[in-house]
Amino acid sequence: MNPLAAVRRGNSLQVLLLPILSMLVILVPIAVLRPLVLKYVGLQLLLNMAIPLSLATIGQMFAMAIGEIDFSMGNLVSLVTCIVGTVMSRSFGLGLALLAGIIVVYMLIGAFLNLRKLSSIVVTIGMSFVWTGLAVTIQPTPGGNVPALLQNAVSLATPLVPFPVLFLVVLAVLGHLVLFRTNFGILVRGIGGNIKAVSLAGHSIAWMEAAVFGLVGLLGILSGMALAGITTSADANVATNYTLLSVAGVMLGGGSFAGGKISAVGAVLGACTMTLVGTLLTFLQISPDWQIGAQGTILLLVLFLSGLAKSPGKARYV
Amino acid sequence: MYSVQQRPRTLSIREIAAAKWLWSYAGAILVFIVITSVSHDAVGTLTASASFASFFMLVGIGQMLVITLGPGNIDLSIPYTIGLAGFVAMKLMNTANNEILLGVLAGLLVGGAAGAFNFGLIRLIRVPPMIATLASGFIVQTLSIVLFRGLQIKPPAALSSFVAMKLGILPVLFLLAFAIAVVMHFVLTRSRFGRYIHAIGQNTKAASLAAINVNANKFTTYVLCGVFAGLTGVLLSAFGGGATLGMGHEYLLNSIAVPVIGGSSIAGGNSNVPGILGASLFLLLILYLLDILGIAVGLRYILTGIIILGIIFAGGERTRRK
Repeated sequence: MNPLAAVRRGNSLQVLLLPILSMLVILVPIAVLRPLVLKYVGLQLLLNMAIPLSLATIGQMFAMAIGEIDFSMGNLVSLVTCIVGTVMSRSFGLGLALLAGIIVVYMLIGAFLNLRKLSSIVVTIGMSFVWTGLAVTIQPTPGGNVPALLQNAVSLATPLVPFPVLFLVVLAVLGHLVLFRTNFGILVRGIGGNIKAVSLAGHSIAWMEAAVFGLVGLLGILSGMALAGITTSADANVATNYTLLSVAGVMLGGGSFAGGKISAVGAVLGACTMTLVGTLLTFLQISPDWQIGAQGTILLLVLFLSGLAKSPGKARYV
Repeated sequence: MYSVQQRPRTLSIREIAAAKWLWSYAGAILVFIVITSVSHDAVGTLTASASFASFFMLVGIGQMLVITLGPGNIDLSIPYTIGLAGFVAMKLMNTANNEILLGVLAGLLVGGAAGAFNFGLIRLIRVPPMIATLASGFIVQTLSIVLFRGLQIKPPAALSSFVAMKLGILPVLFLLAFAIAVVMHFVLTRSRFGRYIHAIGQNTKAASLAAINVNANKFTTYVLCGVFAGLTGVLLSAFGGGATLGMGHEYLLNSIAVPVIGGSSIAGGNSNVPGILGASLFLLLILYLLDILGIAVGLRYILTGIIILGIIFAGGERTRRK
């Protein structure tokens, strides 16, 4: 069966064909160049960095599911590495309070986006300044002291299946279950699809947006904690690319920018693809300077293919 | 409401209060008064701010043109276009005074090409402008890194002294940006192109049915936005003693904040050039005030973000991205 036709029909399993194919296009050359990466330790090294990125991507996915976007994701993740690497090692309570404060701010943003009819891109770009300012204040130069607990948590030696693989599978399944098997997930997709219908059904959109943005903040925090555990340092600029990469991951995974149509499994696959692009370039001995350009090009290529699949021969106004 | 209409002869207080762009001037004046009370050299402050405000105006006008095209239209590649245009211009001039014209033209061309590339992606690959310009920003940034890695070429002496020149108390840069703003004001309010892009922003389908060539006008708009970013890149690298990779970064937020504070709707369909001037001065004076108060870099970031957010919250966009 033609995969593009499958995407057009919208069957949820078949929608994943494009994300899977795009990941294989990157993974297969890596495996051919370095067969050892498919062993236990190889996979662990290969997909380690996909853990924080996929958490950020799932966060971005929830924002995009309700037709919003979080343009401060990368700055938030960087800030969290500074909080866990610097503040928490001195005062655990203060660090925890800061993280809780971030979630509260995120919930307020979500509520205000709805109540004041604000544009999420403008508000979150504004927030990106606040996060980076806080991060630079906490940790002006990279350094810090990440708790051993976090470092151990991301390098667990799980039996048979490497930890990153296990983690990514669990995250994808959890995300999928939340979206498709809970009332919350139904409302999230409902807001993205038809906000008026959800509102008429008696649900408070402001509360829902606050809840969704709280979740986005929480996932960003988890991403920052994982990243700090892997890089073992606090760095105010470590994850600036995460904003763009997380949006790219959601789009690669078949998520729609307009909201409503969304796939958690696809988003995790998209995050893996984005992580693997860097590895492939290294193995091909191409300078890492090309990395972001290559990631952008792959995003456009995949979107071009899925665009072909969605509305053949018919242009739409954008 | 049509954006191109006869100006009413008298304005009621309510109408003045509703003219959001006037608030940016009120804000600028207020901040200036605060500055005069803490600084001895208020005129110097205004002069210094005016130079930097011209960059805000140029990118702000470009972004406003794109935003006018309607919901979802935005150019996120501006910071990287600024960088690449600056590098290309400095490289071609190679500190030689007689190559200035060539370098400036090349910078504008790079900007225009980036704009054309953006529109091409939006049109041919059929992706939302935010994603298309995001991805093209990745690509443009990579070009800057790969082509000009760690290479900072000084601007030609004549160009540096030109951008630092003053007529009276006003910098030449500001007068240049002001002249461009005046031209763009008339282009937007009086020309066919201006009316067309407003019509497209208000209702693309209706504009298309009214025989407006939607794609040609969108193409022109994205190219113009790129050209403004390119010009900013050239002037900024001349002003700052050479192009650097990160020199466009602050313009991502500011290019969007300037039109929004200046009274243009983020949902498109209206534009306001006088507001761009007020908003640019306002933002710059705030930055300057934070600077002379000796506030640390981190806190300055936080305050800038909070002030911009505060204004946007207070203004309350009544329309949102669909």
